Amino acid sequence: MSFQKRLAADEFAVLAEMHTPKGINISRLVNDARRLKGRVDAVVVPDMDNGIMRMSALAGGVLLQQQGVETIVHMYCRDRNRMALQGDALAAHVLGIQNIIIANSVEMADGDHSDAKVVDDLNEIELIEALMTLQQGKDMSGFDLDGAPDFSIGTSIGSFSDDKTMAATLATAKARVAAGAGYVITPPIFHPEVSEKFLNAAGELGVPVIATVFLLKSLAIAQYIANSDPGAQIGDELIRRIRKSSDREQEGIKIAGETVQALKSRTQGVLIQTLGWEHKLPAILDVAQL
Amino acid sequence: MQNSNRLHTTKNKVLVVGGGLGGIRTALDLAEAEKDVILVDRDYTIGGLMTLLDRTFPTNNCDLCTISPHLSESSRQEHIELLTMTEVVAVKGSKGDFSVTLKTAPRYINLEKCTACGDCLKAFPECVRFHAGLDHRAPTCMRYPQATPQAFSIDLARCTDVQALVAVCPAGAINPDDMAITREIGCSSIVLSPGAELFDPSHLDYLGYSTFPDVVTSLEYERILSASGPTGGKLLRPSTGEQPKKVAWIQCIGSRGLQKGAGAFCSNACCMFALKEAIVTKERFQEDIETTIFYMDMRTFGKDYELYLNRAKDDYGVRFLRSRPHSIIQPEGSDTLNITYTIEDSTKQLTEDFDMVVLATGFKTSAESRQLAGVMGIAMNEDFFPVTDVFNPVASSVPGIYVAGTFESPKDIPETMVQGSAAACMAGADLPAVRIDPEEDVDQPRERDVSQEEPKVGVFICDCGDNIGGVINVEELVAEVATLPYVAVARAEGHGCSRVSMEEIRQTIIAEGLNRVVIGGCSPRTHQGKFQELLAKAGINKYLLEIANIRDQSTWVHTGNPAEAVDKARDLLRMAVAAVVKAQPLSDQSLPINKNVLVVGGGISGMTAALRLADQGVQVYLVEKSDKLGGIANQLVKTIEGGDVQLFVADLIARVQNHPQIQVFTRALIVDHSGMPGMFKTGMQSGPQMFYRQIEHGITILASGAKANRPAGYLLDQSPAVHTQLETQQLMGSQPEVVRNWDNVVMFQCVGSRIPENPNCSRICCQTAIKNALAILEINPEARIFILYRDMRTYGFHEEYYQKAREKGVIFSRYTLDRPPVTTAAGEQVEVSYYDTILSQEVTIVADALCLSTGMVSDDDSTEELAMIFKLPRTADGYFLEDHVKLRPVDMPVPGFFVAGAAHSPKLIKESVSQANAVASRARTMLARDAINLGAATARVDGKICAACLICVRACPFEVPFINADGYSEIDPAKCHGCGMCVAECPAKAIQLMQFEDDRILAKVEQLFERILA
Repeated sequence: MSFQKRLAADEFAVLAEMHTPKGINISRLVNDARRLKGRVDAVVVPDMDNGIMRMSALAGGVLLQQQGVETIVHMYCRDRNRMALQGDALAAHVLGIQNIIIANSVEMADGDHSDAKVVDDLNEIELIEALMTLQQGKDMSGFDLDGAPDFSIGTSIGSFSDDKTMAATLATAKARVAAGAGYVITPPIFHPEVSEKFLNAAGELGVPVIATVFLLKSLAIAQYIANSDPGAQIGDELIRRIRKSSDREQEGIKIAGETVQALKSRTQGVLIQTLGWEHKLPAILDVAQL
Repeated sequence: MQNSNRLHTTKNKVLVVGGGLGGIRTALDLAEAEKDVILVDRDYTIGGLMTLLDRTFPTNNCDLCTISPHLSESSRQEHIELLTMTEVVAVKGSKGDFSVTLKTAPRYINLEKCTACGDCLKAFPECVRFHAGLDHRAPTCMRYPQATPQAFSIDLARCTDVQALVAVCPAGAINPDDMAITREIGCSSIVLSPGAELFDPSHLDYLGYSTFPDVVTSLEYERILSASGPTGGKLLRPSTGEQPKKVAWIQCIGSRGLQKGAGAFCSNACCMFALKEAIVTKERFQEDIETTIFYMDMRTFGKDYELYLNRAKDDYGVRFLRSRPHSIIQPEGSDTLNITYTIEDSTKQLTEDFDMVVLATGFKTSAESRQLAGVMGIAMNEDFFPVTDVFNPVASSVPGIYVAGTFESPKDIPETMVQGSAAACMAGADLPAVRIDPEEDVDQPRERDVSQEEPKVGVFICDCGDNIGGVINVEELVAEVATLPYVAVARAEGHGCSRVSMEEIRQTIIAEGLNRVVIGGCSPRTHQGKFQELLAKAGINKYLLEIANIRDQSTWVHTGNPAEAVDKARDLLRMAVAAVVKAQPLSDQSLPINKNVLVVGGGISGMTAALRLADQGVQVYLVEKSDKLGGIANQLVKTIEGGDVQLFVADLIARVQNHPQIQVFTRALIVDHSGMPGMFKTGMQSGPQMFYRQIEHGITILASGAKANRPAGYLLDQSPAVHTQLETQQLMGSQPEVVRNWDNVVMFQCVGSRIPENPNCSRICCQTAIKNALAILEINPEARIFILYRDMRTYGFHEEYYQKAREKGVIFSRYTLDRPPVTTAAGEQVEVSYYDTILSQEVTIVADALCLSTGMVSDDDSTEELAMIFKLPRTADGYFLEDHVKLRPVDMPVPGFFVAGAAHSPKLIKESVSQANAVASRARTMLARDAINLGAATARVDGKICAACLICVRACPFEVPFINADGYSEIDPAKCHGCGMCVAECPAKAIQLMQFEDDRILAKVEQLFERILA
């Protein structure tokens, strides 16, 4: 079933994230995607929104569609002006990609080309509006298009560290939903119970909520997130659980799978983020009994 | 030597002066990295001081057998020319273009011909050079049986009948007309590692060393304990020849400026040396011998050394007395030694009798070394040790001349090995590699396929001069062996290892079509490689060889009983013949090597190693966990010698970041790892976005450092007056006006170290306290500084800063663990009470600042995870555990992994730099090769028998076996270490260890027990 139909039918959607290579070696990407065929509803292909220069998401998305895997690609505002963004959106539709997530961009200084020029011609809300305009057969300057595209637009909710920043990021999400985003993707959720308040608040946005589940590969990664992203609320107990485990790799997979399972009753779907360990996705889905 | 020509015509090489452990390490590292070396030593055999030792701390192993093959390996290396009995006369030129005059004294023995049979020694013991020390058991000029070069030398002056001496040599190796040779060589750089001498206590009357035979130096005691020593390993008193009941050690003889002629420095290794001797004595004699150590401070500051001290105290019952004995006398008519001493909390003079007294004599540079330094023109300090770069201890004052080992400063073996490699790194950096065209193609015939042939064994039995032939009749043995099954040729071969015999054997193999060879001779440990090469040259696989060690195991040990010697030799030969029939041709495993290097950790160690390798054109990936480079050094201001740490670190960072061959990943965490040495693949996530990437590399360098300890207690983080030493140092820089107002400053040593929860010593804190105390006095000369310590561990030249601090009025007071100082908050100040052992009373100080020497601890979570991911061992306190704590201090047990800096154990910046340089040198030895030879001793599974029971999977300590797609256990020969654990465990006997196959071992056993069965 396609991702859109899954959402429309109010069924639990399972998404997996896969990154394009930094380079032209696509064998891992293609192999990992093939292995997931039939086990996930769609694969999300982020672009360079995280500040790392690599193959563009559009090409990656097309590649995976060719393998028979439905894809969702990221679009973001930092690196392209409205001309390039509109052009890419038209290209995406023509190449068979209609699922687009409007993603937040990280600061250029945190990327691997920190001296690159920041564009930020549009903000995320304006980008969503631009896509909506295109769907109506017009470009941003009001000229007619020769054939209008059709998109399913989602957006990501930014991370937060406390109640105040949570409210702010939800307000932004709300504005994006108002502009046309049809579903939202949350930051990583490690304890569905602990994040109950946030999930409930996100639910009030009135569109399907898809929770991100992040694979913790090691104790160091868990500690890093605990220190750098307090909103993730990793908690000492989880850190202890990983530390005590004799096979941390396996433990991380179990934690991710259990989190997916626990989210089944709370959200409309999950996006599993494995950052390089896409070959572990089947094992996580096994634990989640999906 | 084939390489002589090249070595003498170009300047493209390194001269290494001194063939002790350090010099050998330097030469081997350079040679393995394809650089040419001339290694010279004044002595007639290389090996230096270590070859005199019985055992080495902290493992109490006899490491001679570990090191000696390396020594002989060095003489085999294509890139090394070894010149013994040679000294440096003059040096001209500068870095890149030195011209050195060398003078070689005559040995009167042709090294090419001498087989070390020892006939000359037996016939004319007076003509041989007698080695210093207590070697009065047998006059021998071979210091130990495995000496390199494996040859004798003649003292012609002592010889009356030269003609007879020449005639006695069966190899015709003695040449009485040998002359001294003076030659001039060119080289690009020079490494000086001539070692050090031990302090001679003869002039110190009150110790009685020259009067009483039972007063010996620690090295002499070592010789007495040694199996190759004068008493054959029996611990006997020199005076009576009886076993002593009470032995005392007196520390710091010739060190810490205590005696006339003593150095002002601490000799670094003597505490451990004495501990080792006491422990070994206790291990061997338990309650029969009492051991007492008179000491000032026990300086067990090295890696896990404190545990060794604790073992000596708690497990072995070695007695420790903090005291400097007044005198040693032997009253008339008494045969025991009387030591007079006082202990610190009493003024009473005590006396006690001992049977033997060991003086722990310290290091000093020899007159010859000082002269060498003069010839080289390098600056020396007041203690006659070389002046070196504050951040790079192997760099002398002259560019292109490097120093290492005990010549650089007093040190123990691991640190000498580190500096040996570090010097190789520096000296080799500017030399292009010298590739030797592989000779095999020309020399080596194609290997014959013998798999379809019936076994056809050739047995060659040496007489080894009289060594074998003098005890048993070799011809009779040959006749007997000739009748054994499959033996096609049996022959007496004189000296089988001589050139002539080797050529004869080779031709016989070809002419007779032999496909198996047995050598009846000496030890495979020394000669197997040689005969394996011979087989290869004769066109058969080198593993179709067995050596029956009928010399060491038969004629040497049963010299007095020829009948039994013959029996045993016969058994050994039958076993060897039976086994060689079962031998199969094997090929050494090899792998192509990826020449990229992954460095984990961006502190001083990691950056230094990265730069050294990148400068040689190696692609380096530097992974740092935090968001910036520099590590713990970012928090340091100055070294004790006054080096500007911030300047040094900033320069390193700039060079690393701008280096085209270095890719730096900050905020990066290693998450996965696979592959094998030379072909690793490591995954990491880096940056705030946790971008995942995989890196392919051949070598991994661990330089992940340690972290500053911050134990709760003593009002740390509670009183504004309490700081760590790190904070104190920063405070002096940022707020000197605060420091200027301090009246009383107290420092506590060993905070969080040397306690049950963290038993080891943090090594750096004593010098840090002294450094900070001196710096406080610079800012505020009126400050009263009290340092409360347990043992002041200011090793090496740090001792002189300790003395300086005392001179400047810093008060040092000792506390014990059962009576630690007590702190009470007093507003902005802190009240410190402690028990003063000298005054025997409680003292209270109201301190404006309390500085805690909190030292370093391993970042347990981080090293544990790295160890899990890389599958590497750690110490109990979380530092990476190297392959051999003595001889391979920066090599990890998994090939391709190296460790440097505080990830190994706490250390100073310059020590970390040395280790980083050493690691770079060790890495280069691997990178110089295009493939890695893994040997042939690997486990092989017979898939037809394997039941896939997983026992081997669990038994393997290296996690190599796995059940493959075909459903049976598979062992990758490239990963297998050949330990044989799985072979022993396999219930189906489906696994065989190549070279040690069951049928081969059983064939031996059958032969051995044949007569018993019959």
